[in-house]
Amino acid sequence: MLELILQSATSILEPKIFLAMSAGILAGLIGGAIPGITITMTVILVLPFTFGMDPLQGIATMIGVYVGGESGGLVSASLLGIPGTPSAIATTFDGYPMAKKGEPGRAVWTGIWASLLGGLLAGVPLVIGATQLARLALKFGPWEYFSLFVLTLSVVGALTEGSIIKGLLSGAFGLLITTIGTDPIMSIPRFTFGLDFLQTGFAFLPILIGLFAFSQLMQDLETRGSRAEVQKTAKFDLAVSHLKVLKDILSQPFNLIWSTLVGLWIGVLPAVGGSAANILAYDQAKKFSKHPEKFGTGISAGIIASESSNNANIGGSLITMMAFGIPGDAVTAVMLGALIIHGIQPGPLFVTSNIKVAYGMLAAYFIAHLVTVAIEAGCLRLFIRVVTVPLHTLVPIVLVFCVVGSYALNNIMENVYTFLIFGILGYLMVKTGFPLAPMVLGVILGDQIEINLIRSIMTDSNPWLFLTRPISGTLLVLAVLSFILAIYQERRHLKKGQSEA
Amino acid sequence: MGRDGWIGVGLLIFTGWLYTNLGKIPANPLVPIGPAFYPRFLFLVTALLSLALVLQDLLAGKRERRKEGIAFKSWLRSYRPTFLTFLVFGLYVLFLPQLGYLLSTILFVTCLQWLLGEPHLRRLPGSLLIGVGTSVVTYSVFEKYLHVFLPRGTWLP
Repeated sequence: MLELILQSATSILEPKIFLAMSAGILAGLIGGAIPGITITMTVILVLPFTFGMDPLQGIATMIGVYVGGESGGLVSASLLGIPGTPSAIATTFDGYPMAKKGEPGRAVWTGIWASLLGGLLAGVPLVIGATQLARLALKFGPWEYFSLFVLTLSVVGALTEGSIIKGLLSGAFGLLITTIGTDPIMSIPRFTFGLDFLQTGFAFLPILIGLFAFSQLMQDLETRGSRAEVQKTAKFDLAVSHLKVLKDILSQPFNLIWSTLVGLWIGVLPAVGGSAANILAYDQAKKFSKHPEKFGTGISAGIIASESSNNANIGGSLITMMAFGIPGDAVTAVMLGALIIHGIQPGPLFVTSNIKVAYGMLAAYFIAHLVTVAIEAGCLRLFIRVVTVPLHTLVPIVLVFCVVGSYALNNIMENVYTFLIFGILGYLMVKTGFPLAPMVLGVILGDQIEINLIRSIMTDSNPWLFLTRPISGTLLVLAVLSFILAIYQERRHLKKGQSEA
Repeated sequence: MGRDGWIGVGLLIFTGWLYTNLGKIPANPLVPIGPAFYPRFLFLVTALLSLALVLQDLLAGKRERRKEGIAFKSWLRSYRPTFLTFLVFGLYVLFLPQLGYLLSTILFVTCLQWLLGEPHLRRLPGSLLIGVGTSVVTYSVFEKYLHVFLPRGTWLP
């Protein structure tokens, strides 16, 4: 396994791939630093540039954006108190006070080194998890796959903020979308309403771009106002003793490892991203600390917890994506789409059937973390400057990239219309309290759920097999339990709210 | 009934309408489970969840429903950039095939940037510059290096 990763590392270090990945990291760092541009959006913006690349080059570039983006958010979070991405929210709690106390260099570099260490530590379970879970997944039959996808959807539907019913409805709606076009078993057209374009169903990527990028931009315009200029940047002295910073981080091994594990676990959970990981890890670090009262005053422990967890979150997200073809978060959802564009079918056979790409991804993950630190060391001041780009300049440019990304998929305008329709739908869903993550997951898993359901019934018409086969039964029981737990939590939350009122 | 209730009703009607379209899907004599089996199952689940949403809304009662006493003017002000973007972007997508990528993108980026910021005439040259820059750079990169052929424009010679 190690030999394969080392072999893949040499492929990643080939100039063609390495440069593309480094450009991806730079894009990620810039996108991550700009408030209002999420990592998902940056991945979407970079995606059309990868269409012409070979699969490994394209995927390495995406990994670069992902790793760079997670680190980019910390710069604006620490120096300006504005999280560049939701996954850097908790970094502002201590990073900004530390910078305000006259230690901006220490604030930024504690985050950068913690990101690197958290990311590298999470790389170990990523390598083991992705390869070993993929082997386990090979033992699954259609019953197990169906139950696994049902569990995934129910967990996501139940875990998302707000009403459980809305979460589940959102997931069901995503599944409904996949029934448009020819059915995956017999290729018989369904709900095409005489439109040629719908024969193959809606393309997955324009839906994703619409749901994540368009709706996010509209919300930003609404909440921040188009004329909102980001505050002018002051001159920061970013000089710091790296040895001292590293010593400080390594003197808190429990915080570092625990936060990494939290990030990893959140990453493994489908469709729950770094935004949850950094806040949970920060909260945990505070609870376990001997001096919880110092959190929020500018201590390194808070920055370490937040930054190590959000980079570890990448490792977790990649585990589920590589082993089962289930996205750990929005970014891996886009990456799944990118794999399909490059002719690679994500799923349990991904690692064994695409050894070069799979191990290349793992190698890219490690190398990208190291390159990120090098780029940050050289271009830190650039990232502070880009934060000042106003939203009214960014919005039209981002929308143009979304249009090009949708169009370039098949060179047809219908994909642009799909992007616009789902962008508006996504915005309306957010406005009415429907979470987007379950819908995206429904769109991604829809065909697989149908294929495995039909295959299992065609193999044996006994429906009880879904429950009596041990793995399948366990997964379905877990799905029901997650649902019950979510109802219990929602009721408790409701009662608490009523008693407070 | 509140907003959620009406959404539930809307979804019930929508799934009901789709259900009536199931009959149009041809069956396959070779496979006993036809292509309508899975959508039928999904419609049932969606309809049940929609019904649950309606019931939840009715049970919540008027007391818990959010009432926003925002004045129309301030509501319009907060949504102005969003509506403006919807409108300009909608026109861009509509006329992209006719005007071609280069021209429509210049117009779109210039107009939207100018309108979203302070729409003073002195800002127009700057917005135009960014519009031309965005259009020409993306066109060159995608056409020349990535071999993605963007719309040429049916109205253009």
